[in-house]
Amino acid sequence: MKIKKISYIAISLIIAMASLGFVFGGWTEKLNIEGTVNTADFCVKFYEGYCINYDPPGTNDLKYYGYPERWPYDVGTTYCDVKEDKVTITLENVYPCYQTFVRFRIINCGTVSAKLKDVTVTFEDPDGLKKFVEFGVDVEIRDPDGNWVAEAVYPGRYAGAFPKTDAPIDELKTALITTINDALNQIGGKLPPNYELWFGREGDEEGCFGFHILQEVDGEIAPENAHFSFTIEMTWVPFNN
Amino acid sequence: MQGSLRRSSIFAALLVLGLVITGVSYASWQEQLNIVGVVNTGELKIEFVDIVASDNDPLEYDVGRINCTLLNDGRTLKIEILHAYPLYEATISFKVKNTGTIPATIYNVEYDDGIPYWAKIDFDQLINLEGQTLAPNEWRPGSISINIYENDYAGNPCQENYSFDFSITIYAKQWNC
Repeated sequence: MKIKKISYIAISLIIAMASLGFVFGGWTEKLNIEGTVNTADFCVKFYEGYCINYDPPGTNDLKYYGYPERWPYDVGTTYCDVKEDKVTITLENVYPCYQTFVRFRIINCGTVSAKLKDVTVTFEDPDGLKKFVEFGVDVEIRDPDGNWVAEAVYPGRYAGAFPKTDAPIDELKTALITTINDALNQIGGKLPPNYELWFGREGDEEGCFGFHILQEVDGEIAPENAHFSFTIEMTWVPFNN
Repeated sequence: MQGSLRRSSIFAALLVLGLVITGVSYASWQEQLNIVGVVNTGELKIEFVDIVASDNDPLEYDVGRINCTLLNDGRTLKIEILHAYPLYEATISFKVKNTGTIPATIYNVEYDDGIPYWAKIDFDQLINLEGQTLAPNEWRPGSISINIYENDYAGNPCQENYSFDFSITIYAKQWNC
């Protein structure tokens, strides 16, 4: 008898709790917030395969500060190879007074504005040729519509967008930091997506990265059969880095 | 003790993992572009090549002798005349060749002035090369003739037992300087 009474109480309690639970559940609202994060693409690269070379193989040599005049000889040769992450410029069989120019470009191929973080330049000069090598650089920025929106030249302008090529190669790092940042500062300090940074400017007679070999420094003549190389490493980072 | 060691190991592993993850993300948000420049200079070199010396000794008597020696610089020719006699004639023919990789302009031809008056050396063909530009591998023919006279212009006779030598050097410079 007593067990039966307890059973009734238990059943009643379960029914009451179930009812309560149902009602409680019926008065609950579930609100969801869904978040989606898609990260941007950071991409800065050279425009592969694009290099305008002013003294390619089979072309008579340029006269120093005489463009477009050329010597009646094809003696020195400039090679220019552009990969996405590396440009290789080779000046072969050159001599005092040799001058050459190359033009290539960098594109912001991502979705984030980029800025130049650092430039490192290293030299390899086993034959003492470095002090006879001079350069000049013209940096221009083009917007996605093809308009030229900024320019900086080092060490100065020769003609059109041709830079003078009389800066010592030791100044390469300074020149690149100065010109690239000067040009970027003209458009807010960063290279926006789809903007391009050109070493030189598109056009038949527009300039670029130029090199010149000096005849004599401190009474010393430029060495024959000599080798010299340099490597420039440019680090680009997102604008807010 | 063992629990403490395990906790330290887990902490270290997490730290390493965290650093790796941070490093990977950091690296993935920068791009490095490289420009490599290489400069190789050429060579300016002009030389005497294919040197042939001959004289007018009759076949039955090999009396006079002419020795030509090319010095190490390749552009100085030393000529020695031995046992010469009046009316002895010798000729040296050669090529002046640009053996370098850069066009060269011949701007000077120098020779000794210790040549006795009774010997006449004709350098004209060589001197005519002055001012000429030779492209790499290009050459010009040249020759020098030596004539021994009986007397010099003052009537002094050609000396006996007398040997002499002289040298000729050609100077070239880069064509555009």
